[in-house]
Amino acid sequence: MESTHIQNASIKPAAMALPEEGYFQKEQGRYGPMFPRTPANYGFTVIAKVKPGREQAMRDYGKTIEEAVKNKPDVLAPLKLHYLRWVLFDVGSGLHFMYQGIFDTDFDRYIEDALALFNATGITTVFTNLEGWPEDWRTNVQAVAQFFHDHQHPSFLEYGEYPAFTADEIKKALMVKDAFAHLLDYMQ
Amino acid sequence: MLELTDIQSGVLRPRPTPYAAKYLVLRIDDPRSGRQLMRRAAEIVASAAHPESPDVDAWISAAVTFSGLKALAVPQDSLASFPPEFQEGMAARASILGDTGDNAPEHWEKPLGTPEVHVIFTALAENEERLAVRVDRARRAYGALGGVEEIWTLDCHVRPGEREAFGYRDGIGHPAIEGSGIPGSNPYERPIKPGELILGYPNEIDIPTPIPRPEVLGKNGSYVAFRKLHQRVAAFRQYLKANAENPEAEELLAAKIVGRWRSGAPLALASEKDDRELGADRMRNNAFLYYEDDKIGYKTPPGSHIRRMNPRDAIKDSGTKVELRRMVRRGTSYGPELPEGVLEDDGVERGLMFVFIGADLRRQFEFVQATWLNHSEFISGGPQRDPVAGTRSEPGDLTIPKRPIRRRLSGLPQFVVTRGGEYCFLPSLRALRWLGELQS
Repeated sequence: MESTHIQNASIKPAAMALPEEGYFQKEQGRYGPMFPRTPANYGFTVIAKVKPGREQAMRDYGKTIEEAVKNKPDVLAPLKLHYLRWVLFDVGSGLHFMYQGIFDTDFDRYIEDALALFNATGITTVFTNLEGWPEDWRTNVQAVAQFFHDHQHPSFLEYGEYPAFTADEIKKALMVKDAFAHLLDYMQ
Repeated sequence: MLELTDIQSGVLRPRPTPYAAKYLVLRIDDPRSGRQLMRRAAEIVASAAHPESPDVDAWISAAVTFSGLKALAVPQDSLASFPPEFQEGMAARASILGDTGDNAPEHWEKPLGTPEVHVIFTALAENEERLAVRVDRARRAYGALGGVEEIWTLDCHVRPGEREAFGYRDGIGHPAIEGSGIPGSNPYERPIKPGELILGYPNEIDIPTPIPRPEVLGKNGSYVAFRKLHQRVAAFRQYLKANAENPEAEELLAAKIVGRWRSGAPLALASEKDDRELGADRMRNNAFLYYEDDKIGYKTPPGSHIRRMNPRDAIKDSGTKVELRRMVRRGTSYGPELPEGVLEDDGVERGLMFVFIGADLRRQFEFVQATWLNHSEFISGGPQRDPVAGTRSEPGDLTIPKRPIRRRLSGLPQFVVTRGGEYCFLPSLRALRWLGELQS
């Protein structure tokens, strides 16, 4: 093979600088403005302050999610996630929690699926360690959605090495590659 | 327990077959006359409680736009309690709905999409005679009122063989609603919770749908999206002819595009050849699922129209709850037939007036329109759109799974053009009276 360069024009790295608001054209969703799809797909970066003394409870929850996914690998499927990052850091004004997710769906459009999942898996309980989390979260899911929206910090730059491919497409491509490799093995 | 006596009959009741329908659009110029109109509407709109009443084969629905609520001088805090998409109206949601290019609101038939549309009456009956009686009754409710103007009407009627303009039997599927007593058309789908259709009841997600305030206004109401869709029948026929070798292959292609043969027989149950008896049999023509039998879509392509509008169990692996996207869908045809065999466009308007009724326009109608109809990510198909109902500015594709290799249908033009539409609120009967008794 002469070149290992990717020939497919659709697989072309791209970066997008975003205005301060996080969107170019205001499109009103149910809980606030909707954010556009970027080369890094959809996603959010939610940052909220951790209540004093709750750090360990937050950290322990990482293990809970690990177990949940191990026991039921498709437990988070409805979120259409690529990656999830949970970070704790002190910015000088106390410990903060950052929930950063990159996913394939517009959060506003799929928010009901997401909230149903959060409730069903118990993920929601980790958020009770955060300041501003609605006291009545069990019954007032509107307030929960509003919390996410209010604590969302839009990016001003997003980059994708392979922009706009969904997790489904990537998994399919890998399966095809696998199947093809098997096929070649059989032909030996 | 559903308060059937308070819910408009048209929300729950499938449209009759055959049918005749008339849509009447009104503008309120004087809030006092508008309120009188609401009081009279409360008298002529049948409730869902008495399916055996004389209204069983003819009825009227009354729907109000956000501009209409303002024209009635509904208090500000109450107006503000309606969801944003309803407040903005369908024209403002054009980019979400795919109403761009030929479909854009600037090309819509006036007054649709303008703030002049305030109230939409829908009269439905089994035949023209009964319809005329209903329409007279509706017109008497506002005819003598100064300050209320009829600004647009549309007549719809059943076509020969109960077919829509492209030739397909329509009006087949409707969901069962828990507690409504009206059975759904698919015995394999469980009834959906009433809160998916009517405000103030448990829904499929335990997240209460916000109800407009005060409760008397919001409870037992629904939202409705009206869409007038022009059908380019000649273009559709030409496309089929150009992409099939013979008339039989044309019919199969027509079936692959929609997911049903023109007779109404679903590919899911008649994958090789048409079955007219099945197509006409209401007990069987919607009784199927996809997942166990046809996950890949060798029978019913995942991109076909009916599998997009309601994927049933086909996408359950993705964790998507299709129950959150169900709504009542009803189409009524307008315009004359394009005579059989004619392949040249005659420039005549013909198509469907579609209504989508549900408790949440954003979560149901807009989601289906944006995510299932005008996109294919949910079936890993990239930006492909619905082959027959998708809006598009450039030619589209349809992937038809087939052994040994799939067929890719390309060069699909736009066959359906949005001529206009409105988001309306379908108030309960109590709410109509409440609107009628507002004070300035």
